[in-house]
Amino acid sequence: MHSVPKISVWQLFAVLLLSRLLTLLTYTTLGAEAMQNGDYFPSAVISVLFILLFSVMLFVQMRWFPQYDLVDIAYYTSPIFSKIISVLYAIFFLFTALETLARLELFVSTVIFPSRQSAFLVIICVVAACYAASLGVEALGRTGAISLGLFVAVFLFIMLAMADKIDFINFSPLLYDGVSPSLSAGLAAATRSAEIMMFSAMLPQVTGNTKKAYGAWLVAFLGSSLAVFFFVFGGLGYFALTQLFPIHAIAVLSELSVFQRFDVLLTGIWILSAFVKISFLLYLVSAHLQKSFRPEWKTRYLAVSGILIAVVQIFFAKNFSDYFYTVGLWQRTVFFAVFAVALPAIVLFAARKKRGGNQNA
Amino acid sequence: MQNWLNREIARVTVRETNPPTPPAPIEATLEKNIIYMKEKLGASFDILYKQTSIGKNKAIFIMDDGMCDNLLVTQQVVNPIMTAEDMPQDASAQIAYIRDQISSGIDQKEIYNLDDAITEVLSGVVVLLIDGVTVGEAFGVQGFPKRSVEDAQTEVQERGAREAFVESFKDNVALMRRRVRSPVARFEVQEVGVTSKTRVCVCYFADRADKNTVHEVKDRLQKAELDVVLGAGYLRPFLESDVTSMFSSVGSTERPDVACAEMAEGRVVILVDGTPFALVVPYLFLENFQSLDDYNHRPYYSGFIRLLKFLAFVVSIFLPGLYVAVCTFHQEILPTALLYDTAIQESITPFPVMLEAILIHFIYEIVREAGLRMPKSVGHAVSIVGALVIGDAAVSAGLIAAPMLIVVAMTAISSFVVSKIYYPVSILRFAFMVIGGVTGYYGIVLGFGVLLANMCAVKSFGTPFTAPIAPLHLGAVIRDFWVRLSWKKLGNRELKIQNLEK
Repeated sequence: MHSVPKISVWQLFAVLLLSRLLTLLTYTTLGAEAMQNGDYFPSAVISVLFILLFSVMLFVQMRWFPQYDLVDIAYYTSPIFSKIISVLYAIFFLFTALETLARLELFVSTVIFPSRQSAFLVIICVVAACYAASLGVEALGRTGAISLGLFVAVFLFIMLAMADKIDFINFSPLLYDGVSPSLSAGLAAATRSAEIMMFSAMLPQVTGNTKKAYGAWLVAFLGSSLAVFFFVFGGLGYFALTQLFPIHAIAVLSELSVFQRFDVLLTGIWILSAFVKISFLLYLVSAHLQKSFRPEWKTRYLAVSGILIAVVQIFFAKNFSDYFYTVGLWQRTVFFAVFAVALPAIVLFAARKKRGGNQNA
Repeated sequence: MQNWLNREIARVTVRETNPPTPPAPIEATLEKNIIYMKEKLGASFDILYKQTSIGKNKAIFIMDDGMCDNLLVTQQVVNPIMTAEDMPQDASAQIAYIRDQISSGIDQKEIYNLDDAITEVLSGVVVLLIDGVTVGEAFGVQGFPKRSVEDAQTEVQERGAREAFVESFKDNVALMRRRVRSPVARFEVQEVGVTSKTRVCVCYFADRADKNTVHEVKDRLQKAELDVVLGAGYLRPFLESDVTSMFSSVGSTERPDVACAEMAEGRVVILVDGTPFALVVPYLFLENFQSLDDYNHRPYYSGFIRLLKFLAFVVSIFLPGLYVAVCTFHQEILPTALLYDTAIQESITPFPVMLEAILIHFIYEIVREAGLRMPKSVGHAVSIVGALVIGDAAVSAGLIAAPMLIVVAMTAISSFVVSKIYYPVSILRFAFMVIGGVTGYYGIVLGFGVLLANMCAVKSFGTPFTAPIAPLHLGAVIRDFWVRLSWKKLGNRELKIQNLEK
C-alpha cells in the first residue's frame, strides 16, 4: 500500500476559493433573471446561508469520518455501493468540468476570438488540463495557491482603478422588490458551488484544520462577492446588467493614471483560474475511478475524461450552453441537492448504521 | 516503437567495457604482480616501471609520469629508500621500515590488492612493490598539471570574493575549508563511473544537513549507471526530480562562497573531480534570482535587483510571444499611436509576424552560439557582423520590422540578467512565440498555467521547487525572499531547507 499524497488544507482552500471566484467572475447575464442591482448584496449573504445548509452532510462527514471521502465510507457498507458512488461523483465532477469549459469557451469565443472557430481552443485547454491533472494533487494545490495570489493581486488592482468611478447613486435600494429575488439569486449562486463536493472528496488528502479552512472559505467567498458587487454596480449601475460578462466590462472601463485596458489582466487570471479548476476536477474524476477500478489506469481515465468533455463541448456546445444557463432553478437545485445532501446522507447513515451494528455485535 | 528505438540505440552502443571484477590480491612473487599490472595497464607510454633492488630483494616502483611531481618522487620517495643505511634485509621488515621511518613528509598508505594499486597509480601515486611481501606501499606525490584559482566567469560579483572553483576537487575543498573552519563541514569522497572512476566529493554541514538527504545523494550517485564521468552535468539527471521539467532542480555554482552559503542552509554540495562547478541539492526556483551580492549590498537595493531580475525573466520568456500574439490577434490592446506605428512597420515586411519573430530569434541564437564557441578575437567579429546584419541591414532591407528588433534586443539583454536559467528560458521563448502566433493571448496564459503546474510538481529531494511561495512559508518569505532582512535581524539563524518541505 502506497501513501496518499497530501496537501495542506490551505492549498485546498486556495483551489476552492479560486474555483468559486471563477464562478462569481464568470457570472453571465445569459439566462439570469432580471433584478435590481441592490438585491445582489443580500443575495450574497443568502447564498452563503444556503451553502451552509447544503453543507450539513459535509459537516456530518467531518465529524463522523474525518479522514475518509464518500467512496471510502460507502466501501464500509458494500464494495458495490462504493463503486456506484465513485462513478456517480466522477460523473458529477466531469459535468462540472464540462460546465466550466463551456463558460470558458463562451467567454473566449465572444470576447477574445469573436470571429474564430473555438474547437481548437477547447482542445488545447483540455490537453493542458489533462497534463496538469496528471501531475497530481500536490502540483495542483501549489498551482492553485500561486494562481489565487495572482488573482487577488490583479483583482485588487482593478478595483483600485475602478474606485474613482464608484457613485452611490448607481445603487438601487436594498430589497426594493422584496426578498424573493434575493432568495432566488442566492439559491442560484449556492447551487453553482460544486466546492462542497470537492471539499468532501478531498478530505482524506488534506492535512490541517478542515473546519477552520471551510469557515475561512465561506467568509472569503462572502467578502469577495460583496466587494465585486459593490465595485461592479457602484461603477456601472444598471449598465452592468446589459453586459454579457459584467465583471469583464468593469475591467475594460477601469483606468489608473496612464494605465488602461485592465481587461487583459482579468482575462489572463480568468483563463488561468479556469485551467486550474478544470485540471482539479479532472484529477478528482480520475481519483474516483482509480479508487474503485484499476488504479494504474490514471492516464487512461484522464485521457478519456478529457476527450469526453472536449467532444461534448465541441459537437454539442449549443444545446449544452442552453442547458447550463437557462435550466430552471428548481431543477438545478434538485440536481445539486442530490449530490450535496441526499447521496452523502445515504452513504453516511448507512455506514454509521453498519458500524453501530458491528459494534453491538 | 519503444523496443525498436531501444534496439537502434543498442546497435550503435556498447555496454561498459570494464565490468566490476573481484580485486586481485598482491602476490608474494613480484614477477606475477608485474605481469598482472602490465596486462591491465597495457602499453601506455606514460606508465613507468622502475625495477630495482632494495637490499637483496627485488622491487619495483610504478608511477604515471604525467600525474606525479618528479621532484617529489626523487626527493621524497626514491632517494630516501635507495640510500637508507639501516634498511633491514627481510622484505616484510623493509615495507614496515619504509612506512615508519622513510618518506614521512608525504601521504602514505598500504595497499593490499593490485586493482587498488592500479587506481592509485592512475591517480598520480607512486606504488612500491617488493618481492616476497603481499603488501604494497603507496606514496602521494601527485603533481599533475592544473589551472590555478582564477576569477569567476559566470557568476561575477561586484562586492564578493573573486575566486572560483578549479578542476582539481582537492583545491576546491581547500577553498571551501578556508571559509568554514569548523568540524561540522564534511567532505566525503566516492567514485562514480565504471571506467573513469571519477572522484566525487559530497560536502555538507553535519549539524544541519538532513541525514536522509545526504544518504540519498550518496545512494543515487553510487547507483548512477555511468561508464565515464567527465563533468558535473553527467550526474545532474541522477539527482533531479522524477518530473520532467524545463528547469533543473539541481543548482550549480562556480563560487566556493556560494557553495558554503548553500551548505549553511542544510543543502548538499557535490564536487566532481575535473569540473570547476559544484552541484547543489535541494535547489529552489527562486534561487535563480539570488546572488551573493544581495547579501553584501544594503537590503533595499538587493530587493530592487531581485525585482529587476524577476521582471527580466518574465520579459525574456513572454515578451516575444506576447508581441506576436498582440500583432496577430489582439491589436486592440495597443494604444492607437503605438498601433499605427507598429502596423506601418510590420506591413512592409514579407513574413508573418510569428515567422519573423522565430527567424530573428533563431539568427540571434546562432550569433550568440558562434560568439561563445569561437576564440575571443573572432567572437567579437562574429558579434559585430551579426549585429550589423540583423540590426541594420535586415531592417533597411525591409526584411524585419524595427519594433521586432527592439523586442529581440530587450529579450536578449533580459535573458542574460538571469543567466543561471538562460537555456530553459531560450527554449521557452520559442515555444511561447509559436503558441502566441497560433492561439494568441489565450494560449500564452494556458502555456503559463502548464509551466506553473509543471514547476509546482517538481520536488528536489523532498523540497518543493516552488517553495517558499507554494507551499507558502511566510517566515522564509519575510526573511529572505524579495527583500531580505538586515543582517542584524537575520542574526545567527540560518534558513533550514528541509523546513520548507510541507
